[in-house]
Amino acid sequence: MTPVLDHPAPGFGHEALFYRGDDDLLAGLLPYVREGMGLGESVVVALPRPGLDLLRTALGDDAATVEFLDMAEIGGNPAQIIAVWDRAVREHAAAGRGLRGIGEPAYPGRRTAELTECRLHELLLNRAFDDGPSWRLLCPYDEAHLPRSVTRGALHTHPLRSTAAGPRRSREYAPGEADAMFRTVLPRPTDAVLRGIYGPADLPATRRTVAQFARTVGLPEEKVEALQLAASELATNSVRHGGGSGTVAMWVTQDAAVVEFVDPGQVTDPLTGRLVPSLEQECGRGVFLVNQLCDLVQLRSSEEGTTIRVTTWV
Amino acid sequence: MRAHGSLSDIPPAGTSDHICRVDDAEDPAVDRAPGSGVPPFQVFLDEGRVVLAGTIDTFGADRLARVLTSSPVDGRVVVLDLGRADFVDVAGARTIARWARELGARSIELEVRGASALLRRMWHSLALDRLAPVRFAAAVA
Repeated sequence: MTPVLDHPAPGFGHEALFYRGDDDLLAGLLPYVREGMGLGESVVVALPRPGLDLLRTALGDDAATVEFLDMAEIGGNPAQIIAVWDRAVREHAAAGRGLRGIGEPAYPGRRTAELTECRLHELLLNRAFDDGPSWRLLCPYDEAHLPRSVTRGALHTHPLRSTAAGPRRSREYAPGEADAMFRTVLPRPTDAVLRGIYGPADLPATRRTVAQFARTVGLPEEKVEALQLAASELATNSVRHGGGSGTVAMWVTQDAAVVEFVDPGQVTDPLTGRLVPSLEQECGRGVFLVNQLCDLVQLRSSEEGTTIRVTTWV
Repeated sequence: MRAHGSLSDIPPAGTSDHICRVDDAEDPAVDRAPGSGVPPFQVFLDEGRVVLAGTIDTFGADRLARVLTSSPVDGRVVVLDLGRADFVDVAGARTIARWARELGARSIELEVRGASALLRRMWHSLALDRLAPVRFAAAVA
C-alpha cells in the first residue's frame, strides 16, 4: 500500500486528479483551492472553459482571488504551457508568495496528436520545475471521456496522484519516459507530401514556399503569416545549428495543414522552446516563438537528427 | 529551395520619395538575396521618419543594427516606420528592441508605426517591451 503524504515534500508537487463528472471534479478541486487560499498562496487555474466556469461559480466570492486561464487559449499547443507556469512561478517567487496551480492540458475533445503532446508536456513539467521553487500543480483527468491510455498514462507522468485521503505517490511514475518520448520518430504522413531541400541561400524561398502552400490550402492570412515566420525561424535553426541544411515537407490531412522541418542536428534538451527565454539570451527564441504562434508543434530529436512538425488546424 | 527552383527576393523598394537612404558601407553585400543583386531591405529617412522597407531576417539583422545605429536621429521621439516591411523575424525584432534601448539611454523614445499584428504579437510573446519601452502606433497614411 502506498502511504498518504501527510505533508507535501518541498519542491514541485505534481499531482494527477482523476474524476468522473462535475461533482467529482469539484470535490477534488475545491478543497485544494481553499487550502491554498488558507495558506496565503496564489491560486492559478488553467482549465478548459466548462470546468473553468464550473469552478468559478462554485467558489462564489472566493473566485475573485483566483486567476483563471482558459486552457484552450494558453495551451492549445501543449508545448506553450510550461512557459505560462514558468512565468507564474517566477512572479510569485519574486513576490515571496506561494503558488498552487490547477492545469488540465489533456481534456476531452483533444485530437490524438494533441494528447500525445500533452503526455510529453506533463513529463517535461517535472524536468522544468523539479529543481526550482516549491509549488504545487494539480492536473485533472476526465476518466469518463478521455481514452483509457491517456488516463493510465497520467500515472506515468505524475509523481503524485490525488486521493480522498490526500496525495499518494504514483508507483507507475516514470520520469525517464520524457527522454524516450523525445527521441521517438513521429508517425509518417499517409497523404501526398511536397518536399524541398534548403540551405543557407534558400531561406527567403523557403518561407515564401511555405506561405504559398498555406494560402493554397486555404488558411487565413493570420495563420499564413505565422506559418511563414515559423518556417523562417526553423529553417534558420537548421542552417545555423542543424548542420547547415534541412528538408521541409508539407502535406494536408483531413483537418490540418502540416509543415515539417528535418535536419541532421541534435537538440539535446527536450525543454528547448518551452521555457521563457531571458532577455539577453541569444539562442532558443525561435522555437519558443513558434510554440507561441502555432496550433501544434512537435519536436523530436536524437542522434539521427531533429524533426519539428508544425500543424495548423483548418 | 532547390526543389522549387530559384526564387528572387523582394522587388526593389521605390525610391522616388526618399530624402536620404542609409547605407551600410562596412558590408554592403552581406545579406543580398541570392541572384537578385538587391538588398533584402532598405532603410531611409523620409519626413523625419526612419523607414524600413523589405525583408529583415536573421542574416540581415547585424547589418540592420549597424544601419539603425548610424541613422541620424535627434529630438525626443524617433519614428520607425515599418509600413513597408514585408517580413521581420525574431532577430529583426530583437535588433529593433536593442536600438530602442540604445535610444532610451539617450532619453529618446522610439515610436514604431505600421507594425504588423504578427510583429506586435511577437514583441509581446518575447517580452521585448521589457528590453526597452516602445510605443506602437498606426501606419502613416
